[in-house]
Amino acid sequence: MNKLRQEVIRSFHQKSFTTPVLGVTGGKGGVGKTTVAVNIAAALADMGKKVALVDADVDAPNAAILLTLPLKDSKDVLVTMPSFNDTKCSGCGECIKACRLNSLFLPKGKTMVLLMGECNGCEACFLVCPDNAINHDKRVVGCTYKTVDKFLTVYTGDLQPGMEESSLVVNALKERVFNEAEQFDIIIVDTSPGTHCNVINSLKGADNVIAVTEPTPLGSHDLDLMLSLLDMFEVKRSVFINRADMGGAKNVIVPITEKHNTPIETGLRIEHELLQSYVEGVPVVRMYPDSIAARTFTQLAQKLVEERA
Amino acid sequence: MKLCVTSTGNTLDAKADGSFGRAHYFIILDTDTLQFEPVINSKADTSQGAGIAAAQTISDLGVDGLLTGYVGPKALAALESAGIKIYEGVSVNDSIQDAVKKFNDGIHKVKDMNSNAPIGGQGKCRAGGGGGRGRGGGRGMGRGQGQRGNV
Repeated sequence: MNKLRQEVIRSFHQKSFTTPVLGVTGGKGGVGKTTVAVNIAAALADMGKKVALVDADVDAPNAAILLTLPLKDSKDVLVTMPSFNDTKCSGCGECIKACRLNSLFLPKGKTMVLLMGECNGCEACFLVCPDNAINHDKRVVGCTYKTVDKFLTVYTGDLQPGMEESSLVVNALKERVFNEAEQFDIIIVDTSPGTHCNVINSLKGADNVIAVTEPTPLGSHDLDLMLSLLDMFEVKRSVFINRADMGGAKNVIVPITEKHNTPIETGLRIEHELLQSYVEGVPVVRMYPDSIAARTFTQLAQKLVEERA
Repeated sequence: MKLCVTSTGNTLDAKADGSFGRAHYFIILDTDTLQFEPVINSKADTSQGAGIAAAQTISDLGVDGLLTGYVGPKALAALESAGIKIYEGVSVNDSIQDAVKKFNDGIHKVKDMNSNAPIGGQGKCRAGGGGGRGRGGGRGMGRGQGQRGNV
């Protein structure tokens, strides 16, 4: 796998603060990304570390649900929407040519451009308008939230139903957290499934990534995709195998981790206490601190602290 | 009248195209003399907004009416704002020549705009509207969500 151009890699890793950023991702949906992120966050917070947990799956945010926390301190995510001033518009049609979504329409013989289709707020029309005839209106596409629970601060966002602009919400969420990064000892970002732009944007700024997977054909397939993506950057990474006792780990996961030269960090077994904590919406590290799962997460949290020290 | 017929080719022998925004050609013709000019639809393969772009093309050509198979809601609103009459239901088995003959025989009725309210209204598009029957051309950037709700 070829690496990306150096300036792209630099831009991916660029950040204006020293707080470490841990990405929790994995490719496949339902492998336990949020469970891993929430439990590492809770374990670190209970050690007295100031933790920002960022749920960047804005199409289906659920980290706060697994912590039974309300969503607080909402901020609108706004996107530019053009409105056209018919007294200034000369009807030249430049904006119509510039609109990549073909959303603008100018009826013949009239000087009033109409927004007829979807607008993603790219602002190309503003750049090409020679008459300064376009006003910057705004519309709300989603919200970001910040909920403080002692040492743990949960940041999340959601997209308004029917809207398409989840990437704008992810970016607004990241900006909100990164602006406040110096308050924290660590930032943990839980991504959505997949390897698409929202996942890449979620992982932007991460210096350590944990890819959660499960020993199934689907899990290994999606892990391969995720590690191929991470290969393109220069980021420390490891694999976390959930439901590791399902049996296929050696056969389906190990070849993928070897192919991508990525260590297997640790894993979880199917455990009643883990399932029960999931049902109750309390991290297993708090509900059953003596369970195998809780001890796994606590050890992982301690390792993260030691690596930093 | 100056009529636009959506077409699969650039002659009067070509078959009519049932789609408006994704049609390959617009045949612009005089319904009395049958003098025509084929106009290639340069936005037929655009990823989004083909209907609005097509409405822009034929509005700029100054047509009075459009004969096609079906017009999507966004293109409908655009054509309405340009005052272009819409005649739907052209048969894709007909050549342009046959389609115009049927048109001149009066079998196509002008679309009643009030019976099918456009989503656009006064130039403001409501979010989440729009259906469209595009003919593909997607480039596959799917998310592969798998099951929601992490265990």
